[in-house]
Amino acid sequence: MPAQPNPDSIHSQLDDSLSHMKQAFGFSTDLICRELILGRKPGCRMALLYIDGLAQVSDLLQSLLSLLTNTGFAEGAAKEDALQTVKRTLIPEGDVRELERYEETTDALTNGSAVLLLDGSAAALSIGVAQTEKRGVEEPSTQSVIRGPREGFTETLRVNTALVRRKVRNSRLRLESGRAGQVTRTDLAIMYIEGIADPAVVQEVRDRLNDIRIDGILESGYVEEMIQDSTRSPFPTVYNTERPDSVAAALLEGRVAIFVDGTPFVLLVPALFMQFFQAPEDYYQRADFATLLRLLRFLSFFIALLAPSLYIAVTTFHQELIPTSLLISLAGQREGVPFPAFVEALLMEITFEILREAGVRMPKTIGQSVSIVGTLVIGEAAVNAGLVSPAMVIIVSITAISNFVMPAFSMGISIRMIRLVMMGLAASFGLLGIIVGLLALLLHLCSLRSFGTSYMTPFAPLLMSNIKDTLLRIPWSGMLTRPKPAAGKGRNGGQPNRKKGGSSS
Amino acid sequence: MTIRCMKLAILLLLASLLSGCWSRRELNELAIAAALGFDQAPRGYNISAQIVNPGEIAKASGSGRSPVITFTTPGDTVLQGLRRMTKESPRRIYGSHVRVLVLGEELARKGLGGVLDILARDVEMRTDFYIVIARGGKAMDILETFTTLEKIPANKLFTSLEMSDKNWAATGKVTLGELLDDITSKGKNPVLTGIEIKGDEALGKRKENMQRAKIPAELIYSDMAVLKSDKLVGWFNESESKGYNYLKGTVHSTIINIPWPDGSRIGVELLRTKRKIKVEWKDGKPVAHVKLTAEGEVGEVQSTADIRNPFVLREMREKTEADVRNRIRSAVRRAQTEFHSDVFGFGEALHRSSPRKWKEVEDRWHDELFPKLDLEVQVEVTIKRMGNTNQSILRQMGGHS
Repeated sequence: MPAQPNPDSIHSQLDDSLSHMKQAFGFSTDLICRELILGRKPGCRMALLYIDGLAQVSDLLQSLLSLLTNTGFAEGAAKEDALQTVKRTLIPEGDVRELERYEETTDALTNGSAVLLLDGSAAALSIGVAQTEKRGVEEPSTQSVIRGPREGFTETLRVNTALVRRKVRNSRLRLESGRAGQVTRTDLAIMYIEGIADPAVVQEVRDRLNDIRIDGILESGYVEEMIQDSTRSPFPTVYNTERPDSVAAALLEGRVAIFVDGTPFVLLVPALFMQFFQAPEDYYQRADFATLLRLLRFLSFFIALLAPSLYIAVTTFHQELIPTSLLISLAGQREGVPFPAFVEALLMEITFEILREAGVRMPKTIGQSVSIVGTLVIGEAAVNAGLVSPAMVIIVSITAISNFVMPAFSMGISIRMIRLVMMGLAASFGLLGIIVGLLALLLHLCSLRSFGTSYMTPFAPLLMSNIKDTLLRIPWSGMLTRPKPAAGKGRNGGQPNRKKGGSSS
Repeated sequence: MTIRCMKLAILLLLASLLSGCWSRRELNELAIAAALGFDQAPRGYNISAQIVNPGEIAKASGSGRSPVITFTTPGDTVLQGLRRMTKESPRRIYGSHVRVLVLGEELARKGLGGVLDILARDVEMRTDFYIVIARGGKAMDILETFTTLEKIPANKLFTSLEMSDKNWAATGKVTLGELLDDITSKGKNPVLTGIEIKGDEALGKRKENMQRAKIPAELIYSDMAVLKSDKLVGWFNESESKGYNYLKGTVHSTIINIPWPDGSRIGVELLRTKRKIKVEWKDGKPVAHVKLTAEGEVGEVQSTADIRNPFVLREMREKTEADVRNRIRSAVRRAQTEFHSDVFGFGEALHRSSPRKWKEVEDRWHDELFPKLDLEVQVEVTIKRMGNTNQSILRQMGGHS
């Protein structure tokens, strides 16, 4: 088999390869083919291909054209050498690669590179002239701080990795790139610090990312769902953040960051339960204040989770627990309310969820009117009409507000879902139901793992040295050791917990 | 896997839905009883319950309806009476928040044993409400009287008892738990505080009772009832009630008026009393040693005495001690001679100090041996403070008159 062993190899005839490329793109109109002649006399034909809008070719063209016409291209040079000559002498861009197969060429084009095909040469050059529409680095909208850096990630992967690298100026900061999504071919990158991150976890991340089989990845949420340990759990086992400082801090703790092109949300694994209670600002403010804030967050967590169910349980099953004067006051408010406390709570919760969802989706300009209607409907009219009791409005409001105290939105979502279950349990079994529900929740949390690490670390398993940054945030002078790699040495002998088959579903 | 999950989910759903919230009671389905009253009836008992009308009490401005409703029904047993009450009351009587139990005097004289069982047995009842006896009257009349300041009469009974117990010491708050302990103990008999209606009883039952500055009918606490086992045998007067409380060691604060030689009076505030009781068996009869220490404060001086003079202070102290001692003695003497009931717990003290002797005498204690008990009282008062001013105003006026 002397000639053309591989049908994917680039033809040496320019016309053949050009037509092949055009066909590959189905004569898409944004594929530009610019034909040029190299050298004076006999000339060597070549073509510059690029996708309009992805590649910035004007500089390249200028340099090519000026050089092509002015410099005497050695006439005797063999055509095979032409490619090398062009590569070595004519192209001003830094990122130049030789390609031999059409697949690589199309890849390069879709990436925004320009591709140079030469007549008589069975190879092509890809020239990195990609340009992307970039959003500037702006303040992150999801995790804002009072004190702390104001920069947030953008939709461009390279900008994002650079933002982190600027914070961790160390050659041990590793960046590995790859792609996922059979149709979208989205760029992914993982970042970790060699020597701090557990190699087993890094390998696990690589494996899981390689296992992703999906047509498209448009946001890091796709990746999160494909790589998380348990899809059935309501709790997030992957942390996402918009803040470079959060990522840098996580890397320093030995975590692995996963960047996905096209979204400002970077994933961090392994993610532990405690992590969702930590806000970046905890580390920028005084330690004692940060500790108080942590405690406040735990309080809010339980309020958001349990306030309506406790109210239901206590007022419908355990009236003897309420102080007499409070009981009389509550009973007075409930006079004439037509629904049982559970239905009342459910009504209010659903109304609030509707308002909240509407608030997220609706155009900002009409937000004001919706919030006014919402306030009036929930706060005033429902009470005045005697449909709900004022105490219930207070309960639902404090629940809703407490929910927003969670620094991580993903944990807030879990709380919202579990809250409803808890309310059902409270309505049918009272406090007993709540206790059973909480126990089940605790068991579930302790059984969860995130990339081989027990979710409840450092409480279960207990790692005393890691407690310094959980309920408390002790001052920096006391944080002498890095958090221990928490890969549980428990049931599966420290082996990261591999998910089976989840990636192909 | 999915089928197993489905089965589990269905089971869970059934468990929670079929149980149908079986013990669920919405707040507005409850008649919250704030006070209960038991009276002797020709046959069985009359059971009264003071039910709170929450709508009237919770709102800032009531609509003018009565804040409480009192239902009274007869029943052979207490429970029967309470359940029969649902014929009158649209809601089920809910007893967890009972604050006061009022017992009619007639019932108390016949014995409380019968009515107390349900209170101790019913899971809904707490044991921390106070028990009082309607002196010379019926419990239902007490419950039907309106009060001011506290819209709920039961609340007024509750807080007023707490306050007078704290500041006056001639009443005693006895909870169900304590009463049951005392009734079942062989070495101590219970006492209960009495309550009576002062003024126009009929007017007190009308809502106008709440609308005057000078209340026509008022509920006031009066002295303490002495029980022998579960039967009322008599009443201590105010002085003896105080004596009883000194002995019990529950006096937090009270006032002692001491007569001064010049005909005026000086009030001493007594704080923080501590007492020790030791009973021993000596020469065939029990001897009780009581030691009471207290802190005093000059509360009010009506005299021109020079209270900065140490001798005057000493005299003041000695007179205070004598007052306390006398009250204790008179209370014990009355219990010994008239009631034959050891409400002070001397029997229990003997039980502690010589358990074997107690075994011999426990059955004869109240009627035979307690009346023979010798009492030695030692009172030590230290007067520590004089308040904001030293000499009395009368003296400062230069009134050596």
